[in-house]
Amino acid sequence: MIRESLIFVLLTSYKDFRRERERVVKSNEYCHTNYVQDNVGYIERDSEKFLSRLLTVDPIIEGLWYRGDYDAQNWDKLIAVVGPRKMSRYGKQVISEVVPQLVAAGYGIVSGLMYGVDQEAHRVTLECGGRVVGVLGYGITHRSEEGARKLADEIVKNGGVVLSEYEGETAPKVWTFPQRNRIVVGISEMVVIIEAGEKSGSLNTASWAVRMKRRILAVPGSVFSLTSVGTNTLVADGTAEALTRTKLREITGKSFGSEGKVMRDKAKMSDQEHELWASLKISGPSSRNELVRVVKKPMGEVMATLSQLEMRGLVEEERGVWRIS
Amino acid sequence: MKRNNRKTGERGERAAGEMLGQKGYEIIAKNYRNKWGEIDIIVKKKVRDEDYVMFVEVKTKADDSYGEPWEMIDSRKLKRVENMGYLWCEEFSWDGLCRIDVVGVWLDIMGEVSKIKHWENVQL
Amino acid sequence: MLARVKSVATVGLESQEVLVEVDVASKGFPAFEIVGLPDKAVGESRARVKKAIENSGYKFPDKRITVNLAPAGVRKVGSNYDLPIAVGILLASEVIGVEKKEIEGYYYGELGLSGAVKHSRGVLLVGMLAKDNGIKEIFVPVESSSEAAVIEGVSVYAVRTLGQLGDHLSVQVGLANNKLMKPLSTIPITDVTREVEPVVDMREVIGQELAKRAAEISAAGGHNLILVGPPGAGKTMIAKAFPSILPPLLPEEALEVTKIYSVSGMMPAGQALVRRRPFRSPHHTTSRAGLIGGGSNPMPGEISLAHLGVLFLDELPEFPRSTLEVLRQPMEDGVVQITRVAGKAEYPASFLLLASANPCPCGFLNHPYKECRCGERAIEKYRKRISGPILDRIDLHVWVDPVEVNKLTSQDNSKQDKVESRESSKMIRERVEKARKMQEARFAEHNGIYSNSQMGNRLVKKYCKLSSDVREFLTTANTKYNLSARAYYKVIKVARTIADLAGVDEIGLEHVAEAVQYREDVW
Repeated sequence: MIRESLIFVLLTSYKDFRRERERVVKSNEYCHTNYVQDNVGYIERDSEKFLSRLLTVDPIIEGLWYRGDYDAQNWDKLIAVVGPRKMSRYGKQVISEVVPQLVAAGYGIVSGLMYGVDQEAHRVTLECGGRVVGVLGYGITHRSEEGARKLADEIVKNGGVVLSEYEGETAPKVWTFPQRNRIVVGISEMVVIIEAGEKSGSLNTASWAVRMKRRILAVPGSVFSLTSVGTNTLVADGTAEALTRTKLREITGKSFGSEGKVMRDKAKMSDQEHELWASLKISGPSSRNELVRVVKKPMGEVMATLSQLEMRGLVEEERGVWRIS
Repeated sequence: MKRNNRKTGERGERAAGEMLGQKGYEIIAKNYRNKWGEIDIIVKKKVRDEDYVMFVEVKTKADDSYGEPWEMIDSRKLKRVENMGYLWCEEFSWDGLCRIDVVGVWLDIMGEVSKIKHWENVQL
Repeated sequence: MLARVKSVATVGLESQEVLVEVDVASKGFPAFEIVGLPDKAVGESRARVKKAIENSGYKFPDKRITVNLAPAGVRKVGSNYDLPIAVGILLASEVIGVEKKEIEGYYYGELGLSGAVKHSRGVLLVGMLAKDNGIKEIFVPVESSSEAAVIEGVSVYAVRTLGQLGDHLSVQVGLANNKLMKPLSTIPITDVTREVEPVVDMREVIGQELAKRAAEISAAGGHNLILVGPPGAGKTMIAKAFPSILPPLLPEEALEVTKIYSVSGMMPAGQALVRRRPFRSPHHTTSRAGLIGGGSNPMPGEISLAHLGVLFLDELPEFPRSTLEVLRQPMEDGVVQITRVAGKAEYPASFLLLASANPCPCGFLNHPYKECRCGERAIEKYRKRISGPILDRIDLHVWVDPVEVNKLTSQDNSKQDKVESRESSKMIRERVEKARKMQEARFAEHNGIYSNSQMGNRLVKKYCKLSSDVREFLTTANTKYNLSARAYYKVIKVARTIADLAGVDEIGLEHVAEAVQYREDVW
């Protein structure tokens, strides 16, 4: 299935792509001067700043436009996190669990600024203070309608970098996104596919990853879920490894669960609150009955303390199960 | 219920009257008729220190078959006898206790009394 | 000869004096007529009375007997007129040689064919009416007599057989001297309502600390409670243990409850009073009439049998909405109106509602190790089956974990969770009683209000003053949990009870912080 989509994409767009690419390269200098006020820069492949891993990408990347502090960026340990525009609640939950883990393990996150999974991945990375790299499927200063521009500004403001193969306000075309995907994959060490429908664009990313021999991890989903058909198939036919807790632990070298999001506010807790919070951290998600047996305090007191922690967003509850936020 | 002829009936009534007399009942009327019908025998006796007037229905059976009063007298008949009784009490100014008795008489092939039975105080 | 014997008619929970007149004529054909009872009952009563008299060794008069139950307008049902009718016959026919043909006292009870006087309903009411009307003696079946023995000032004669009664009455004319019956000694009510062994003790419930805490709050403040959790979690067991943490019935309350049980024919033979708080658990197929009461002789329904106790609706979503609808008014007013042939009757129905439910049709939603097989729509439909108004009247909503047996038997917890270390019902009840006393004092001048749950918004404002930090907390909670106005007041009422349990006058932050967790959010 992967090979088919790959061939399809390449065959239809290759001719147009070559033409476009030439035009871009010729207008190189001109573009560079004009866009300086937008803080846009350009790195050509001959430059020593150009990432060596991108040199071997085929079709060739002539150069990359960028916004943000390219020089200051740490380009090591990057993981691509991609998925479809139609993100499900499950996908969102997965991102909120997986991305912080990766960030905490020192990885930077690469994605395509696409509406849905890509933007969520970027957002969550920003929230937990991780490194962000975004790759656009259209011109570096092109204003897309879906809030990508705002996000791009945000990324740049927070020390991340936005890349694009296309100059200025080049509009997206059918082939620009698949081409962008090869850059996403090229920069990264491995690719994590959060979700994919049956004919999802994320599968295209997977096919690049196969081609470029990058490690592919796909998040398995419910067998009933339409948004996981693609990912489940990737795992089933062996193209991708299943991103299970164990696998994630292996990648990050840490355990799942209570590490959660990096603390947003080091809220001052009373001794009572802290004792409970710490117990919850150690035990993992627990019911109140379980907590009471651990802390050995009366139920009323435990409940009151939990409420106050919840009020400050330090713990959260779902159907009677409490966990650290 | 078969009633052969008047003769059988008469025979039975005679036998019943004799039996009652022997038992200490005072016969005060026979074949009393009024608009409600006919009562075979009316007798009187003291029962537990109280005077009772008994209205007696006599049933004579000529053949061998045995029967109980409930086969001989049904509740409709009893009601009629009671009504007759009340009328008699009015007519003859009896202000005392009443009851209904039934006497069954069995005749053999020869027409002789083979058996006689007296049911006292038959109630609805 | 005309004899007059007094008896009592009980219709529902009301009672009225009835006069049984018996005339044994000195003329006419033998007959036995009863006027004033429904036709069907007449034939049955005649058969019983006649046989009872004969089998007691008396001659049944071969005379015209006419019995009249007066007044004609009062609806008389039941078999308890057997005894007065029989006594009347014996008197009127001078079988018992008593001088007066009009005797004092109430006679009440069903007769068996042997002449034995059988356990009858409503005897307590007979005693109460006797006291009200200044009647000094009552003659009732021996097996029901204890009920009336709690009434002071009324001599209760426990009659075993008709013959025994006949002898007793004959003594008054100098016959059968040593056959005089002695009345029962009065049973002091306080003796009867002293400490009773619980049917199920809270101590027998493993774990479930949250549910136990909620039960304690429920019992203390009269707050209705719903337990949501998977099958086998122990919801039913907690419900069964619940009555044992309620304070014992006060004497007046015991009498009230006994009245209802006596009239329903649910007093076991020989028992004087209902001693335990009632616990009723009607099945979800119970009809509306079964639940609220009714019938031609209006019998109390389940909610009245649960009066001053607990009504447990197990598997609440399985109850049809139309059935649950009838609970609304009684839960509001504490009484239920039943329409009878002769008009409307009002039965007490002040109960604590306990309910249980599964979280979804298969029951395993959110289960730690079992799969829930239900689709999202099925779950929504299931939740919607509990009508809003009923859920609205439930103040405490609690999640019940499945019993994690493996966790409980593990090394660390086994030390903690021995039976002895768990609180007994008695220990919980002591706290509940203290909290109730505080409420008693608080609502002393408010008629009809006994518990925090009954407070309307006005009383909440009066008795639940909130400090500024409490108010601040509540404002945050309000926004965070999107509480409705009604939910907001519920939280405060529950907090008031939590504070009462802590023996504290002022509602503190820790009380509201706990209270807010019982809000309706379990689903």
